[in-house]
Amino acid sequence: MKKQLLTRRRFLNKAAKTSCACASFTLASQMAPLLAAPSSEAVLEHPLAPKQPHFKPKAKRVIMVFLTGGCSHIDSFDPKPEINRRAGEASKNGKKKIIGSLWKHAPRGKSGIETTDLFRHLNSHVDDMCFIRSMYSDFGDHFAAILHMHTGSNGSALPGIGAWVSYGLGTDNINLPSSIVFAKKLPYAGAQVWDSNFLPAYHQGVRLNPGEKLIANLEPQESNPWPLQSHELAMLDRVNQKHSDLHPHQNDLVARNLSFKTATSLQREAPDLFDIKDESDATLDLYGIERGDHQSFGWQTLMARRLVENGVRFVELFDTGGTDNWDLHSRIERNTGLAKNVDQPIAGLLADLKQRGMLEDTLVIGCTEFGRTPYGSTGRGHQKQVFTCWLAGGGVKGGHVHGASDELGAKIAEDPVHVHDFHATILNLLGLDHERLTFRQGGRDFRLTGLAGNVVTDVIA
Amino acid sequence: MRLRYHTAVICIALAFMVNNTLAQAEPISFEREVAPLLEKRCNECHHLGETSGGLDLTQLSTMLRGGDDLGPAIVPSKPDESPIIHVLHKGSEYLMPKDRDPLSKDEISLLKQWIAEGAVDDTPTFAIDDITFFESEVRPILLERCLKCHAGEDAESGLQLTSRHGTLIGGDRGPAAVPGDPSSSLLITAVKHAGKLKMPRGGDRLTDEQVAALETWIKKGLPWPSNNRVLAREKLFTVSDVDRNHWAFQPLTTPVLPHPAMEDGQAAHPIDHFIDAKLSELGLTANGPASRRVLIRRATFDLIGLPPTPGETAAFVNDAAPQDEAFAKVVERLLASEHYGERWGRHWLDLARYADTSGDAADAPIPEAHLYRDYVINSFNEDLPYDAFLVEQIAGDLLLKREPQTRSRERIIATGYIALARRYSNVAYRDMHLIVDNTLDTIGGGVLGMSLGCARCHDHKFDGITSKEYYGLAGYFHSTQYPHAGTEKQPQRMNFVELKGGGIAYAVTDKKNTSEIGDTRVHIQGEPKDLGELAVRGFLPAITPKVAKADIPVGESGRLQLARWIASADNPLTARVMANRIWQYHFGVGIVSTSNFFGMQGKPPSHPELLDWLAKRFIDEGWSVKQMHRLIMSSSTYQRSSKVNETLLRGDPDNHLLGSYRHRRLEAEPMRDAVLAVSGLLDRGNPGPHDFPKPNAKNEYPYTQHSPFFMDYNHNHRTVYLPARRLGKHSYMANFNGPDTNVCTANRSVSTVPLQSLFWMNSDFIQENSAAFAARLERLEAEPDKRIKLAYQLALNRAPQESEVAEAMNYLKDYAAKITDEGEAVGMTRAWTSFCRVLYASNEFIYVQ
Repeated sequence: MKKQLLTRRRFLNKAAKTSCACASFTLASQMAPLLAAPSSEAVLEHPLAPKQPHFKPKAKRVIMVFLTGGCSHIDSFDPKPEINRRAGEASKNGKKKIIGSLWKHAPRGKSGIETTDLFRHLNSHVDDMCFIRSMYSDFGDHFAAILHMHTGSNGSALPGIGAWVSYGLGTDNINLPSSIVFAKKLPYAGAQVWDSNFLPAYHQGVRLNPGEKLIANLEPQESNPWPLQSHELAMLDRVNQKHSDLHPHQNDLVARNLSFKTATSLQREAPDLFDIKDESDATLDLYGIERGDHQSFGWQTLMARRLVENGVRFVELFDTGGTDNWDLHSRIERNTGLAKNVDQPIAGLLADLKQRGMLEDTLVIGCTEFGRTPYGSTGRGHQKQVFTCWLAGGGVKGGHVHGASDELGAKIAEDPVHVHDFHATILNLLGLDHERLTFRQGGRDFRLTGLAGNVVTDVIA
Repeated sequence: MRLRYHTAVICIALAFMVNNTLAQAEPISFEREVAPLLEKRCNECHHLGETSGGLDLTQLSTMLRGGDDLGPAIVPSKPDESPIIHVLHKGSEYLMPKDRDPLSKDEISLLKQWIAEGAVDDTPTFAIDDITFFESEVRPILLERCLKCHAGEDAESGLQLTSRHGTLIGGDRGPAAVPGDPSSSLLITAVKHAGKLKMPRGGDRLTDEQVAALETWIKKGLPWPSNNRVLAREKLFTVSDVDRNHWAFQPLTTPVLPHPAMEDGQAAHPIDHFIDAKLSELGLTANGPASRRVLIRRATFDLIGLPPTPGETAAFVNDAAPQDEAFAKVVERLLASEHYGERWGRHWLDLARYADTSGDAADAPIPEAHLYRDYVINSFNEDLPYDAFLVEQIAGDLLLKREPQTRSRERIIATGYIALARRYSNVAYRDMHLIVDNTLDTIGGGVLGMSLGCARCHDHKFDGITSKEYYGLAGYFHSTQYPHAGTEKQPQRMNFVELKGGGIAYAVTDKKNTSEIGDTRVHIQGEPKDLGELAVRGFLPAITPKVAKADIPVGESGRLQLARWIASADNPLTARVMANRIWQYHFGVGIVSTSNFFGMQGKPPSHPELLDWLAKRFIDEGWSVKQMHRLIMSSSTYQRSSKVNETLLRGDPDNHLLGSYRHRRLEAEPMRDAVLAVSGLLDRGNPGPHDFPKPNAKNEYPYTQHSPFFMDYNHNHRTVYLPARRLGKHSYMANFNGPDTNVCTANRSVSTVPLQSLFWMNSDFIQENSAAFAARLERLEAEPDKRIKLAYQLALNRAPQESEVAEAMNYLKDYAAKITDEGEAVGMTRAWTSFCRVLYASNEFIYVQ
C-alpha cells in the first residue's frame, strides 16, 4: 500500500481527539450560558466545530477558482460567431468597433456545449460542468465588483463567502483553518475579499503565500528547533496549567493553553500536508506539475484538493493579482497565456476529484469579476451586464447551460442570474438557506445575499 | 369625461413631440416643460418645505400667490411684468438663482412664452380613488423594480420614471406610456417581455398582478398626485410614544443613592452604592479587594497600557499609607504619565476609525494622518474637556474663524476626525454619499450611540429618525470640503489644509464656493441619483425634541452648530455614551453592553441609575475624562479581586453585576508593548511621521487599484504608532483582533486561533524580544535563582514561588543540556531565551486579573 502520510481518516481521528480535549476552547463571551452550571463538566463547543446545515446538502465543501481582472466570456465559454462575422463594425457613436474573437469554437463532449479552444483541457470536462451564461453584477469596476462577488456588498466591506460558509457549517478539522485562500498576489480590494469582517474571527480566510512562507510563523526558530521546542511547549503547558488552577472558572485561559496544542499539531502536520511527495506521478501529470514544484497554480490546485480532503471547508484560489491579469483592454491574445496558467490545473482538479469519488460532494466554482465587451478600440472593456460563471460537482447538473446572452454577448437574452442569486445557489447546494444564514450586527440581521437573491434551481441536479 | 379630454390632448401633444414637427406651434406644457425646469433650477429653495422669501414655486397656485417682497411671481399673459422673469436678469436686486449659474436664454424664453400663453397648468388632476390606486398599487412597483436604473440625471436610456412627466416624455426609445392605451405603451410591452426590450433587467419578472396594475394605471391616464409630483417615500413616517419614551432619549436624571452609609458608619463610595444594591437584591456578596500587586498591574495596564516596573510594584505594595491614599498616588502618577494618552487616545482612535490610508481602491497613503493621531494622544494627556474635544474635531476650523488666536494648529488638525472618513472606488469624490455616510456612522455610533446609517435608505424603523432627518445631518457634510488623498483616476492630492506655522493637515473646511453650501435633498432609497424632497440641516428631534432647529449663519456648513448640539449637557446621549465607554474600558463591558447602540436595538443598561449618575458627574466635573478615572478607580468595585466563586457564578453567571472584577486579555497594543517593555527594547518616544514614500513633484502617488499601497512598517515604538491600513490590516493587528479601520469600532473582539499561538512560539518578534529579555536579565543579575526571580518580577510583577524557581532552574539545565554542539555558554543563553519565551507566551503575561 502506498504510504499516505496524512490520510483523511488519520487527520479526522486526530481532530476528534483534540476536540475532546478542547472542551473549553471557545470565546469568553460564548461561555456565559455554560458557566451557569459551574460544577458540572460543561462540554463547550469549539467555535469551528461542524454545524448542522439547514437541510440535506448536496455539497460538503467548496473549491472556488477566481480569475482576477474579468475573464472574457465571449472568448471562452460563451462563444459568439456573430462578433467574428461583424468584426470591425463600428459602435453607434463610432468610437469603438466589434473585436472578433481569436479562438475557434466547437461543440464539446456529449452535451455538445459550445466553447472556444481557449481552455483546451477544461473543454474535455464540459459534461461535468454547468455554465451560467447570464450572470450579471451591480458593479463594473474591479474593486467594487470583486467585493460584490465575494461578499455581496454594495461597495463597503462585508464578510466574505468563505467566512459565511465557515460560519454556517463549521469545519471538519479544527486543526486547520476552515477557510483557506491561495493568493500569490493580492487581488483588488486586498484581504477584505476573504475577511470575516463582523463574523467571529475564527471564520476569516487564512491567506497562504505560495512560494514564500505559506503560513506565517509556521516553522520554529533556528535556535529552538524541534524536538527542543517540544520541551519548551511542555514547560509552557505546566506554567499555564498552574496558573489556570489558581483561576478556576476562567475557561478562556484553558482555551488559550489548548490553542498551543492545536498550533503545534498544525506546525507538525502542515509540512506533510503541503508536501506532494506522496502523490503519484499520474496525479501530478493530471495537474501538469513537476515534482519539486511548491508554488505554481497547478501545485495550488492540488493543495486545494489535499486541504478539502483533510477537512477544510472552503478553499479559494486566485490565479493572479491586481496586475497582469484578465483585464485585457488591449492585446486580447494575452488570454492564451492566462488560460494556460490555469487550464490544465483546473481540469486536473476536476479529474482528480472525480477519480477519488469526491466530485459528487465537492462544489467547484469558476468565477470572475465581470465579463468583457464585444466592442472596444484595442481590447475589451468591462461588462457587468452579462458574463459567464461555472459550477461543477457538488450536486450541480453536468453538461448544462443556464441562461443566455444576446447574439453579441453584450446583454442578457434569457434567465438573468444576479450575483446574489449565484450566492444563494451556492449556499443552497451546501444545505444552507441564504435567508436564514444571518448574523446580527448593529441592530439588523445581515446575510451574504443582502436583501435579495433567488436560488437558481435549474442548475441543481 | 374631463379626464378623457385631458388624456386626449396629451396623446395629441405626444404624437407631435414624437414626430418632432410643429413643436414650436404647440403651447408650452407646464407639466412636461416648465415644472421640470423649475424643479431643476428653483425648487431647491422655493418649495413647500422651505419657502425661501415666502415663495413656493412647485405649483401654479402658489406661484400666483407669490412671495413676501415681490407679490405674485407671475402675471399671466404678461411675461415682462412677471417678477419671476425680472429676477433672472442681471441688475435685478433679487438676482436668481442665488449664487448659481444664471438660466440659459432658452430656459428664460420657455418661461416667458408659457406666461405669455396665459400660464396654464396643464397637469391633469385625478380623482382621489385613482390617486389611492396609484399610491397603493403602482408607486411600490416603480420604487422597487424600476427606479434603480430609471432615476436621476444619469437615468438608463434617459428614461426617468420618477414623475408623471418623466414617464410621458420617456427616454431614448420614446415615451414609456401612452395615456389610456396600455397596449401601445412601451412600459407594458417591456414588463410583459412581449417585445425585444425585456424589463426589469434584473431579478424576477413582474407578477401578473403587478403587470395588471400598471395596465390599469395607464388606462386611467397615469394618475399621479399633483401635490407630490416627484416620487418620494413610500409612506409617511410616524414616531410612536414607544420611540419617544425610550430610556436613552430621556433627559439625565439625578438618581438618589440607594444606601447613604456603610455599616461601619463610613461614607461609602457612590459607585459601590449602586453596584452593591443590585448585588444584595440577589443576595450576593461582592469579592473583597484584590491584592496590591494585582491592583497595580490592573491599574497600570488600564491607564497607560504598560506593565508596572518591579520598582513601582514594590513602592505600592510597601506603602504604609492606607489603601485609598496609597492607590490614589498610583492613579495620579499614571494619569500624569505621557503614556496615558497613548493608551486612552488609542480607545478614541478606534472610535474615530483612524487609519493612515484612505481606503480607496488604491488605499492611498496619508502621511499627514499622524498629526490627528498625535492630536488625540495629546488631548487625552492634557485632559481636554470632552465637550471641547468633540467640538474641535467636528468644527475646529469654524471655531478658529471665531477665535483666530486659540489653538490654531490643533483645531485644524482636529477635524481629521471628519476628514478621515473612508474613501471608495478610484474616482475623487464620486461616492460622496458614502463618504458622508461613513462620517455620520462614525459620529452616530461613536458619539451618540445611534446607528444613523439605516436612515440613509429609509426611515429608521427603530430609533425615530426619518430619512429626511438623516439628510438634514448629511447636509452639514455635503457642505464640507473633504481633502482628497489621491486615487487612480485623480492621483493629485488636493484640498489639504495649510497649518499656521507651516505644513499641511488632512483636515476639512467649509466648501470654498458658498453656492455649494446648503441643504441637501433626500436620496430616495439611499440612491444619490434619485433626489427627493429638500432636507433642511437640523438636529434629531427624537433626541432633543425641544431643539430641532439649527441656527446656521449664511454661507457656513453649520458643523459648529451641529457640534455644539452634540457636545451639549442637554443632549441626553453624548454624556451617557462617553461615561459608558469610560466604564467599558475600565471593566471590559459597558453598563450598556452595546456601547455604539443606545437605541431601541441596543441592550438596556445593567445599572441605569449608575449610568445617569456617572453621566451627570461627567458633565459637572467639566467633561474631564481624568476625573472619571479617579472616580471609578477609587471605588471598591474597581479594586475588587477577580476570583470567581461558585455563589457569584450561579447568581450572576455573566458578571453583569460586578461582584468580581472581570479578568481580561490584553488587547493587541498593550500585549505587544508589554513584550517590548519587559525586554527593554521599547522605544518610548513618539516616532512622528511614518516612513512613507513621498508624493512626487506633482503631489501624486503612483498607486492604483492594480497596485495599491501596501506595506507593513515595523518599529519598536509603541503599537499605537504602527501605521494602520484600510485594505487589510497590519499583519500583527490582523492576527490579534485589531480594530476595523474602516468603521467605528466599539469594542475589540477576542479570538483564540492557532495562528496566534504560532506567533508566540515561532515569530521573529518574540525571538528577538526573548533574546533581549534574557540578555537584560543577564546584565542585571548574575545568580541564576535571583535572575529567575527578577524575570518573574519584570514580566509578571510578582515573586515566583520556591517551587517555580526550582522548576525553572531544572528547565534551564535540561534545555541547555540538550544543546550539545555549541558549548555550554551558548546552550545556557539559548535556554534563558527559551525560558523568557515561555514567560511571554504564558497566560499570566497577557491576562489582567
